[in-house]
Amino acid sequence: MNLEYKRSLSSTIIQIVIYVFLAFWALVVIFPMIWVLVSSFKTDQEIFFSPWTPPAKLMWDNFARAWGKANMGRYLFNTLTVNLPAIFFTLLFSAMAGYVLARYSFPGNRLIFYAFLGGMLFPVMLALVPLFFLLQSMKIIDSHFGLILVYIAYSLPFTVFFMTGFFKTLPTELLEAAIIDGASHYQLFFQIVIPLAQNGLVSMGIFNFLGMWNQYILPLVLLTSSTKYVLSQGLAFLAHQQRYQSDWSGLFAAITIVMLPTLIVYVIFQNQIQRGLTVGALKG
Amino acid sequence: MSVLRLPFFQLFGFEGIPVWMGDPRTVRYAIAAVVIWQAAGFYMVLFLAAMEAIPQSFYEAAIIDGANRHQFWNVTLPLLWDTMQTALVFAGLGAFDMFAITRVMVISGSSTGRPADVLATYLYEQAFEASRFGYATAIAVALFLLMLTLSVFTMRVTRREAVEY
Repeated sequence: MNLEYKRSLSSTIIQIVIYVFLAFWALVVIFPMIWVLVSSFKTDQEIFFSPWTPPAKLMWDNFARAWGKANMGRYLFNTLTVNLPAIFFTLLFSAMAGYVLARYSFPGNRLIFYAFLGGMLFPVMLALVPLFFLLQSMKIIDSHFGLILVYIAYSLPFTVFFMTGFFKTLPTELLEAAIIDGASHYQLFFQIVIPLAQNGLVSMGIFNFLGMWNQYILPLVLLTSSTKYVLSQGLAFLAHQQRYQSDWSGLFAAITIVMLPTLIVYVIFQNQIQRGLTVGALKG
Repeated sequence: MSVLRLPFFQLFGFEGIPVWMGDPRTVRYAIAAVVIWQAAGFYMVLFLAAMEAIPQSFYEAAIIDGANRHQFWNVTLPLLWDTMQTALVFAGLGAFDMFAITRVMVISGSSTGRPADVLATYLYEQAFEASRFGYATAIAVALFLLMLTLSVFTMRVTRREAVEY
């Protein structure tokens, strides 16, 4: 929208108002994060009595306490043990399902696609109690394996929907050439289709990573022993504890540990994330 | 500073600065503020992507027809109607969740926490703290029907003739 039109005084004023508002909003959004980051290097004293000044001395010890005594290191390890396999299998199954749904016509194709689409409408809340009992009777309640299965199930609908759309846009010539050269269906999929789908897979991988990183209610219900907690759950547990034992600087360090990876991932991959966020909402 | 702000909050019936999270009258608004802070970015990205998809020719045509700074209301906004509809449904569905934020921000079951209860936290409490699993499942089904009704209602009410481009 770089069209030039004659600037009157009133439009200049409107421009200024818009910029002031945008700057103010940006500040409102960024400030709490910076404040947490700065506070994580302070002493408890400084947080309470001089909340607006930078720390006199960088208290790296806050991070050591958060990592060790407050178990953030263990929670991080647990989170990765759950999220990495969950993302890997989500991507693998979604790519397979999306590819077949987009490229092969067979009776029931639409039915399966709409079944996946219906899964997107299904709120976590509705399945919470049944899931708990299902996992209990399968003896995988309070285990990372159980949570991985649930995460995969919940990530599949949207990821399949996205990948189906993605595979429809891929050029057919390459696939036809591979078939003519005598590739089997498996070779075709793993050696031609997967490398071509890299962009879409990266988008969905990051999108699901952020979703699982922030997931709170599922681990809260499905993981009960504190040694198995994931980060979000551990952080809420820690925040709750601070009502009785006040190690606020340690808590801020813990928040920083949880916050930084997502911020870094977001800054690096913002284009892919935005594509993931908007694909379901926009046509084309 | 304190001279300035005391009368302001007294207008709304507070003695001094409200304890935002500790006062049953304000706790909901305090949580709402955090939700807005958290969600605004997503909708911004959504609308930005939608605006970038509007062809430049629409603006050129508007300029030729003599439009200037009112392009936003008369050109951009009507073309964003589909996105607006999606955003409304998203926001409506999001409003039925609110679990993590409510659960983390208030002490559940306390006198200040009660007014902040949402269906999701109540459901969790009934199921996993009071062990009333049947009741909790009934809440879940009611929640789902409410979400479905609201979404369909929103889509119906906001239906307009779509502009294809």
